[in-house]
Amino acid sequence: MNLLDTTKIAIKAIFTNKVRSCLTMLGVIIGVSSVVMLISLGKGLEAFVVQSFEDLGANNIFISPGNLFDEEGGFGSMQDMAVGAITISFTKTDVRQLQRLRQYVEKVAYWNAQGDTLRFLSNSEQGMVIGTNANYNQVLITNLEKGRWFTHSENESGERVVVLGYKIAQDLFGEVDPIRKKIRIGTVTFNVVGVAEEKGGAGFGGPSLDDYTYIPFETYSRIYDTSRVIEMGIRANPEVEIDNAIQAIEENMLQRYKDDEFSVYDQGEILSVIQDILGMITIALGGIAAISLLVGGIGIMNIMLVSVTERTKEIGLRKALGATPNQILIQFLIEAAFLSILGGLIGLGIAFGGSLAIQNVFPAKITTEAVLLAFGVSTAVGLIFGAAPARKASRLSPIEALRYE
Amino acid sequence: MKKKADKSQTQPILELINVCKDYQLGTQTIKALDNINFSIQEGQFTSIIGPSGSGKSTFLQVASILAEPSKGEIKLKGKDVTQYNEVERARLRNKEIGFVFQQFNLLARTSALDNVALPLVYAGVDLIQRHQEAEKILTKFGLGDRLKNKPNELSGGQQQRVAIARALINNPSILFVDEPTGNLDSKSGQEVENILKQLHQEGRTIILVTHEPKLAKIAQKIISLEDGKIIGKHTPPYKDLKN
Repeated sequence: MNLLDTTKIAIKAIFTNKVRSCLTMLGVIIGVSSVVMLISLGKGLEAFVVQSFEDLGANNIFISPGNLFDEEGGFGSMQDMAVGAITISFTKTDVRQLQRLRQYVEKVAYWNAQGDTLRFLSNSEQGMVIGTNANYNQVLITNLEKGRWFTHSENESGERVVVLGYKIAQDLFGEVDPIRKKIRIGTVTFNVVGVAEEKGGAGFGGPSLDDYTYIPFETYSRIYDTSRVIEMGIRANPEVEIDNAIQAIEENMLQRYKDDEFSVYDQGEILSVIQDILGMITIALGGIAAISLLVGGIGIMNIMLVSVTERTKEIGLRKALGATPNQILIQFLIEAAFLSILGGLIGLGIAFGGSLAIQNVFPAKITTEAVLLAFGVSTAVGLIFGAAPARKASRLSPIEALRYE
Repeated sequence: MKKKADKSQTQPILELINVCKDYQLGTQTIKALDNINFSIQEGQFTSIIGPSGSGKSTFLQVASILAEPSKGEIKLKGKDVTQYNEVERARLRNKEIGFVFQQFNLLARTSALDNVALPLVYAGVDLIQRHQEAEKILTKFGLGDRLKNKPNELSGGQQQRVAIARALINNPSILFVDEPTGNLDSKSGQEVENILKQLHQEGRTIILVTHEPKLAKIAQKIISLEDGKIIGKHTPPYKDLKN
């Protein structure tokens, strides 16, 4: 008797009890589809975040106040930042000092930020006002949908010009072209010179980048009466190693600040921490979904045990007619594995469909690894949970089995 | 298909020597077979009779290599098969033994053709040949137009004929028949009786187990069992046996 014959017998048995087979598969279907869906959501989120970071521009170095990374490589003082415990800020002296490191530094952008109300005619919206310099859009790649960015001279003379984020422009102006229109930020009137392209997404828990409003730093200083720089972004010279640039910047900053008063980091550092976190989340989500796969496996075992009991007489007959214990074992194992694999394939189909359906709302990315994992696990579930019933079947005595009523 | 008896042959095709079979029932040991000595030559037809609990079924199980004896020796075609392991026994049954059961034991939801071909599956015969042989033998038993019918679409007599066809498809050395008419009406019972007679005429070696003396009498020899022991051997015209 060859494997093909055994497989045919097993498949026939499955189709003989269609409803029961479907219900048995349901556990695996739900398990596999949720494992694949959740892993694909995790992976999609990761890909989205990586892409967003890459969009911000490579070769970028950021200088933030406080000790941002702890020794384990996680976000150390995020909590401090959230509660406003960090009181350190930078000044334009720092900017000038850093600009002198010409060997390493190509451009320096610096900024401060504050929430405020923006008004156009009777429309008013809350937005995040960023006071920055003319380099900002080149360092933190911010392409313009319309108009232009403000110039160095506009910054230095404190002109009241503004570049609007995509969404805030939409909310304030609707169909009207915002360029050369006047808006008010707080009580001060500004001339709109540009609108940024849609960035999508959001900062981590912060406002959407599309709600940002950019004004010259000097203008910001006058309106909000502050010369503090809360963060700096540096476009490193592409001809030097980024680590060397970071080292040079750190040495420069140490001339004015203590070691724990500032952090110098590149995007790779943030990205790897975020990827670690998202990786953990993906594993956790997959793990939770895997529990349903386990439940599905137990369902298969349960039904296979019922099936063995129900077909005791058939097993006895097959043995009387010459089936060896191994042939019976393989027949029932194939039956369990087939149910499980079929369930796995249907589950995969559902996961594919589900991922496509939510693509517009949430980035989901089905990876080959997730598919192979789900397929491998569902086969293993069938074989592992089918083993006990199959073994029971193969060990039945033909006489006892034939006598079974 | 046919196996003609060789009258000159003296070696029995099946031999049970001092065979005992004990069952454990709680703390009690039941002697289902007690020192049985039995042999059958190729082409012979022997019936085993006895009341319920006499050990007929156990005799059939042990002699057909379904069950192992507790003691004694079983020789098939002169070869001691007592110590065979489970796989060897399965192969031996597939090749040498045909079974006809009282309750037919056909696979439900499976066509007559596939039911008959089942032993060939375990003999490793390919699908086309399996179906050809099954069709041939079913046609011989008058079921050529019932090949695709499932057991529940057949009458009792037809089902038993399918079961007999299945028992013969591997061209076994010995046919074991267990109460073949027990579940049949008298007309179908008569049909089965005629088939058994015909098979014997064709030279088949048959061991028939029954509690009906009337049916047992179609054999060349009858052995009576009681309490696991052989209590009598009878030969035609069976005047010493009541109906």
